[in-house]
Amino acid sequence: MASFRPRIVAFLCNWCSYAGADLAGTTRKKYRADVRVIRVPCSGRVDPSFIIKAFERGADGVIVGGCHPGDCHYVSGNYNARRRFYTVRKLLDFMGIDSERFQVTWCSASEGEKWAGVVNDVTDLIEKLGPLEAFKEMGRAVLSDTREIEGVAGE
Amino acid sequence: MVSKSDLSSVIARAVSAGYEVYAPGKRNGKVYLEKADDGASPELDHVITVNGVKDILLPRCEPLADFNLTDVSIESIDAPAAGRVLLATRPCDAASLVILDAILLDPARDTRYARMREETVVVTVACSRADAACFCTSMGYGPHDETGSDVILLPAGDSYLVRPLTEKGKAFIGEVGLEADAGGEPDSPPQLTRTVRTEGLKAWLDENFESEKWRDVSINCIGCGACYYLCPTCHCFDITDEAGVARGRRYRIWDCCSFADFTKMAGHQPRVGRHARYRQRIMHKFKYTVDNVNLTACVGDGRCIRHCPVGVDIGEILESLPEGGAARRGGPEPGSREG
Amino acid sequence: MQESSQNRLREEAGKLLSAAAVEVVVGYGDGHGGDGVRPLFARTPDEAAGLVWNDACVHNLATYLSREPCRQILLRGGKVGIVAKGCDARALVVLLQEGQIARESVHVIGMVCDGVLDPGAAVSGGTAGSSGAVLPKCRQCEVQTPPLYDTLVGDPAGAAAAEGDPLEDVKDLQSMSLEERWSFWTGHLARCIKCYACRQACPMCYCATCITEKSEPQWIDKPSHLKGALAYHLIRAMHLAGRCVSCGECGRACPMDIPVDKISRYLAGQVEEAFDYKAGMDPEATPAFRTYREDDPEDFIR
Repeated sequence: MASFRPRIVAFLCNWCSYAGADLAGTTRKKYRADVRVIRVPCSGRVDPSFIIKAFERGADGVIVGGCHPGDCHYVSGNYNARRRFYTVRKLLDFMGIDSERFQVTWCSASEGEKWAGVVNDVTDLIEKLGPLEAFKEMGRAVLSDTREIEGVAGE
Repeated sequence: MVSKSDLSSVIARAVSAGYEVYAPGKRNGKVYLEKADDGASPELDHVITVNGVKDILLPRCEPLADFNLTDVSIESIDAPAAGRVLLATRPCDAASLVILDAILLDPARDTRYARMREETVVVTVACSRADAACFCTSMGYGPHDETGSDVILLPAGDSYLVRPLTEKGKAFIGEVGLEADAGGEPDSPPQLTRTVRTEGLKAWLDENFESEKWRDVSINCIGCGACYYLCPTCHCFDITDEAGVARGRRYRIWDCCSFADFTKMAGHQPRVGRHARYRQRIMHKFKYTVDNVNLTACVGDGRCIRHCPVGVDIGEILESLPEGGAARRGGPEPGSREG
Repeated sequence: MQESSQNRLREEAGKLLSAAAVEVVVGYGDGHGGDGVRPLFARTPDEAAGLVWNDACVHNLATYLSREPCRQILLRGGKVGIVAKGCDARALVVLLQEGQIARESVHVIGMVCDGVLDPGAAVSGGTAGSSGAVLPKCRQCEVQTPPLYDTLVGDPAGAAAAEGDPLEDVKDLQSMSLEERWSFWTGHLARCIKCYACRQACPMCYCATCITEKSEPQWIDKPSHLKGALAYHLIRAMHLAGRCVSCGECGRACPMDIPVDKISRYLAGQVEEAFDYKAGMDPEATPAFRTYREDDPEDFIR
């Protein structure tokens, strides 16, 4: 049980959540280290296929971070994202994939502490849910190189 | 003779003799050709399986090799060597293998198909009934036809007469404890309700590549791949990689000339438009394969007719092409440009 | 009742074609050998006499507007006539909303409909509603009179829609456990052969180059293994969210009997519940995923 280290991919919007995550670092917050961050211009940039690809390639959880409603650098990107991600979670659930593996957070550039908390909470949650075996099994069946989905260091 | 109920023990004996057995099984009310385990009882009261034997010998998705760019290595993944039995296939499906053999074994040998084919025993159950889509007789085959089979089981009441047709077939029935029936009266083959007249078709195809009739006959087609993928003689494939940064696996997968990106090249798609792609289907089956290997690439199993969601009926189309006069369902679309 | 609608339909189509008001009328005709119905493209008044209307008229003909010959006709400014039930007309509305067709280029012959039967059912003289064996989508139909038409055929005050819940089968799935649903879908999707019949039958899938055809990067694995099939169906479902009109054609078209329509019909229901939007009812409405409300649900957001 202790051997399962969740792998979580986070798509963070450049203006708010990425900056917030940065702040968590510069203010030396201690928090769990199992989230890999990918910077995107806006949470609205995140296409559902990114989320599915992340699961396919071994992620046990996916987080999308965006600006609070009303604060989006691109005015309404996060509003579009909100509707879209609500629907993605419904779809995942309908297909038999735990929608809790896909988390969304509004995290502003000044919310370093919040980001640290989100990482800790989501990591705990994914730890309890366990590895996303269903997707890993699908990958094992067809890939020659399963290091990525098993979480083995690459070359 | 073997009774219908005894076929499950034939499967069991084949499995213990080391064969992979594929037989019809029922799933959600439809019958599919699928892997049969030790205790399986084959479905026998159906006209034809949804999928054909092509599924087994030319799999939808077949790993070819693993490659590694870092140490520059390629590791071939061989086609499975285990012997396999295609049990209770229909005569049309068995015949389709003869056509695939003519294309895939000679002159260029598809080594994977060849390897699997060599290790495959085809045990056909001749048909007791046909439906409105069947037209095997019009293609030169029939419900009790022996083309392509190693063993044919002919219905006789609740049992089958066992007739081995090849050395492979004789060896197989020995392995599973069956005896050949030299005599015996099989049930009469069912009568097909559909005939497809093909006189004049080849001659018409030879001369009419540019005919406006192609637009008319393909007008209902929505451009999916259902008929191509279910067709026992369609065999086109694509090669694709499932890869990470430096390592991956190369697959052979089904492809079909109905798709917009089939034969698409840099800056050019030679087959633009639905009509051109449907024309390719007909031409390949009823002209090019005839020209190349003297066989028509159609066995009349009727799957394309059964499963087309929009009523494209190949039999109807084949008959209408050589007919004189304006096309049946409206005139051509002159001067249009495809995108 | 259906027979007089059929006669009226033939009359209307014949008139349109005689007057050259449209170049083709896309409707339904007899299947091969009189068995069932299938799409029919009538280009002359004579051919219009072959149009049929009965409870086997399941197909959503709107898909043909983005395929040849209609696509070419519309591109060069010509006009097309199309026979549409309510569900089909909803698809036309979506195409209008998305700028795929110009209103004046399409003459819609709207058919008042009280339901269509499962394609296996024989063409009957009676009405579908009376037999009670209509497709789930027809239950409590709100568009018996199509939401878009130029000519209306049939009596809007005619037979009532079939009873029952159009989402009954979807709700059955929802009441299963997560694991049971995963098992259900992987069991079905194992048979997916990536023929794309679902995509081609769908009027909303009109992209000239589908995401499945993009290879750099390869978003969706091409092979028909479970991973490739699941990715395709998940992404198609998201591409249809807020656009699917629940016509059910995708499920009907599938040669491997995978009930893919359940996925998009489910999402359509979720979109309606959460965002109060039903695709294809109003050409002036803004599609659900092109807009937002300040109070959109966000309980799930940390």
